Amino acid sequence: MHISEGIMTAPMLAGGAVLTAAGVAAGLRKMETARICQVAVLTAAFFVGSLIHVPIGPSSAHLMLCGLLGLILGWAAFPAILVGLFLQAVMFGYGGLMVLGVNTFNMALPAVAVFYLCRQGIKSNDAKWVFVWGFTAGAGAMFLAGILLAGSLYSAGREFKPVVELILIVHLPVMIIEGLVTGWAVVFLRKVRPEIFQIYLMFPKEKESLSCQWAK
Amino acid sequence: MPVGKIRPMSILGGMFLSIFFVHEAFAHDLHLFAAVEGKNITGYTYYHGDVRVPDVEIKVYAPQEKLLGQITTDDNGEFKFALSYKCEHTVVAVSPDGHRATSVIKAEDLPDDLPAYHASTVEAYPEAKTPKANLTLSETQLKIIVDEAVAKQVRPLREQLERYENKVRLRDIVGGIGFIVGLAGVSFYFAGKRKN
Repeated sequence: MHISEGIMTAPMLAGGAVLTAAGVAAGLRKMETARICQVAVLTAAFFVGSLIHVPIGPSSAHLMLCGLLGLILGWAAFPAILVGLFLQAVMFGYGGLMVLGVNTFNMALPAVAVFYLCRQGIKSNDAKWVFVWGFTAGAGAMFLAGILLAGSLYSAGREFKPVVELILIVHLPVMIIEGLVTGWAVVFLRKVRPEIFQIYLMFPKEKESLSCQWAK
Repeated sequence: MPVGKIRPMSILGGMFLSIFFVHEAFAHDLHLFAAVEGKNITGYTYYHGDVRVPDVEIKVYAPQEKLLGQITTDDNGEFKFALSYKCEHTVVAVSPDGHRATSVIKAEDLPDDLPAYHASTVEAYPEAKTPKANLTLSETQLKIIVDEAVAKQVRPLREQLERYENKVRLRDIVGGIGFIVGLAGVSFYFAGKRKN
């Protein structure tokens, strides 16, 4: 999902950088002290997740975890993804420093979108629905990131439709895996640490006294 | 099923099983290998895990970004570009989904009997002179033969080195995580300052 150096035009690079800067500022502003550790741990997960390629047959795959980051961090996904991508660019040459803004925006905006779209679904007390919404968040974030990537390449002078098709076809299996992993992770977190999602939880009546630390 | 009834082990098992459902390459980082072979630049493009990439646009540039030629990789992700000049060649590969890789071939690595490059002569595309078959080998011809033989021998080493360089190493990952922990520390410092 990275765009490499030397493909985007200068105005797009500047635009991406400005939008990312705005997102990062919003993320840092909304980040409470108590959540710094969560952000750091998820940044590390994002950084490592995209590096560990699991060889499958003749090829390899890896996770992106944008959906999970978005669900848990919300706007703080912007600084998290920025740091993760920065490290990947500096240490491994994935993407690059010039396109860091565009790449961050392409992955962090879907994360924030997922935060608003799928977070409510996790309120459910039924593990099946929690899983379904987790899956939607994981796969959906990747889908949106693919669309944004295709849009960026389109702005760099490529035809939109073939690029979208190519990206989505290549990523379809990974999208499903990402959805499954995110779904399972969300179900697990929802069970053992529901307060990690910044939501009001609707517990069944007898448990109504349970309060949520992060509920606002 | 209520949330409380899912066991962690089933989640781990599911994560493990999910690994087997991927068939397609997750195109991530495009790599380019290019080397001189006789009077050609040959090479191939590949994704992580040695997956060759067909239909990649390969552009070859002389110094000052002068385009010398353009080709696409074949079904095996391989390409061959005929050399016309002795100068630094920059090979740029761009895959349809926006990945890009470059490789620079130094002028010293090219055969000596290629004409020197001048920015003004590019349009002419002169064919490189091929040495005529001769029973007695001149010093230059012998040098060319030796160069070709050595290039052939060195190629696998170069490929191996290239792959080694591209490998993601544990110490880099650990270093990256250390960086993130450090950033968290800095954030805590500023958060603490803000409270005071």
